[in-house]
Amino acid sequence: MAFLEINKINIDYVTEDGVVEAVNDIDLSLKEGESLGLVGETGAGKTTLAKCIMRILPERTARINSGEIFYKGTDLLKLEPEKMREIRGSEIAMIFQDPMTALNPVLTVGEQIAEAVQNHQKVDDAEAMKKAEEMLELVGIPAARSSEYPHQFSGGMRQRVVIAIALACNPKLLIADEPTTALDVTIQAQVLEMIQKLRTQMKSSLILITHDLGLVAQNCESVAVIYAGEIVEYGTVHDIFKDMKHPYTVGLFTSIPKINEDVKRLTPIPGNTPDPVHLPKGCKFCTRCAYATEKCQNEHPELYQSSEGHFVRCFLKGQGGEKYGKQ
Amino acid sequence: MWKYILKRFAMLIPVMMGTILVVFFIMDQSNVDPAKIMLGDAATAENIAHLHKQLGLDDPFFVRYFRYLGNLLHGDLGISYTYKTSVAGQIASRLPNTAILAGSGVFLTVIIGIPLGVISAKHQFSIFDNVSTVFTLFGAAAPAFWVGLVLVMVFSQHLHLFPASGMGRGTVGLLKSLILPAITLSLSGTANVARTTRSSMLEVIRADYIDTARAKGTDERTITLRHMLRNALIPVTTVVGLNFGVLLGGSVLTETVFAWPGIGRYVIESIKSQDIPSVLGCVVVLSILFTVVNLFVDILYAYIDPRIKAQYKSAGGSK
Repeated sequence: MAFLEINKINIDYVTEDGVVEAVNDIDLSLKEGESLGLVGETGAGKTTLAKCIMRILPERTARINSGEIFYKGTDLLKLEPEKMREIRGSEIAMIFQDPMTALNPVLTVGEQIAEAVQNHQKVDDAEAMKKAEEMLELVGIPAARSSEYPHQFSGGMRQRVVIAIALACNPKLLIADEPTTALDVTIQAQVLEMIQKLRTQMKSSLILITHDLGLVAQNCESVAVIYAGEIVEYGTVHDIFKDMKHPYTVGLFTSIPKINEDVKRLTPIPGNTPDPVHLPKGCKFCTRCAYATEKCQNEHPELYQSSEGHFVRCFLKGQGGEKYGKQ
Repeated sequence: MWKYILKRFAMLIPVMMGTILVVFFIMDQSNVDPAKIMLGDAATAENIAHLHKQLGLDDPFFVRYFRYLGNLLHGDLGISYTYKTSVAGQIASRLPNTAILAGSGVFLTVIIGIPLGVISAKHQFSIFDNVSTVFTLFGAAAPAFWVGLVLVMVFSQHLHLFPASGMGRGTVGLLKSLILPAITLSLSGTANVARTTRSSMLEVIRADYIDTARAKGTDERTITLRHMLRNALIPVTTVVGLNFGVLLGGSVLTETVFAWPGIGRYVIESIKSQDIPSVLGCVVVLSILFTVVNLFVDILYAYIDPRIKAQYKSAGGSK
């Protein structure tokens, strides 16, 4: 039994302009203690997938069409709301992208951490506040500041508070949604180091959502590259970094400027992400792919196994490999 | 914080001086000769001239204005022409009645308007939301005197549930006589508060920190009350505060329709009988009330939103 197993998840957003297919047939699995990187551009569906695992997608617009998410053997999508509420924060916790907006402006940071504690443990206010102060110290903020409000903290400090909230109940699975995007580079390193340290202490698994390949290399064991709502390449960090197959993954790597070369211009991937309301019929990357053939435009490629544990969704690169699947 | 409150109280002085100046000027232009009113039709020219001298009515405008302010400092609002007693006393005997009516108006506005807005926002576009939208549009559009008359027609003429006018005695009698005027008075305010609550809740409902609250396993009730409503309450507080001013103004109409013995009706009576000191006194008291309520609302902000409190602190400390 896998620790976390996501099977063929499909999520749409119903908007005024039409139906946006945000997540298409995503399969993923995660072992206990493992860390997985989800890499992709803005709008690829990474956050949607994360919110789907937490079951905090906006009810009005988001629609989970099919799929299962097994956490320790139970399908989270079939759980009663109250059971799911118990899991949120205590078993699975999430660190949000923007620390400037992720904290409630009218509650003290202490109150916000203490609330996470009291949601899952029967402790009185004083005890919860004591635990909140411990958490603050753990993320490097003096306990005395627990009675201050979010606006009295800097961005990096706020992100520490967000992390303290997420870790307050020792979650077994931590989903970090671009935890450092809104921070400047020096703070980024500190925050990630802290997440890593705390994660090892608490033996949690990690799903790290990012568009920064460097972060993935430092923090994850396996990587899923997501494009337009589907996984285009999946493998260990070693597979992806040393033997990348999919043209999109290659594009992601070549768009990073190299420090040891004299780069005058960045090398972006040509074109834009396709309009999510009108996705291409065949391979979703074919409009931007230098190698696209007629077949790519008309047929949708499966996820092929190119080598042991390394999968790629491409006719050209995955050819000859076995189809991915758990059936 | 206290410095800020003191500062705001100090600001009351120029505001009141300005208000009184305007009202005093308008009254001065009204061409009413108080002496004639006090003495009646039978008065001789000599008697009138004598009274003018006695009351100082021939003094220049600003002399009379500052004399009025000076008297006001001692709580002296002059003598009512019609009742021949002190205006302050007249107002003091009616103020509690207006306070009861306006207080119940605010109470209804808050306990109906806020939940209506919250439920509408939580279930946007549902049947409840649509019905409540129709109700709020109606409430904001229907004039108070008309609503009052319709309520009287239905609930006292036909159903005989509540008295049509006057103020009842005893707790039960008082409550029974209070219901119709309070509903009339609060209807438009309730509608405004419901609409404001709904729209500010809708803004907050999609905030990132609501996701954070959900992600840490907070239950829906706590999310709504502790995380959403508290943040959505700031614009609502403004509307309730402003609405109090509308209630005081509206009490003039409502008190007239329901013959409620409060300040509103006193103003109308005084205007009809050209009782200038009474009109002036009422306006002064109502403006003080309004300004104090606004100050109270501003202080309330600080308790709802710590960011505003920080601003007040720095504003108070700068001098």
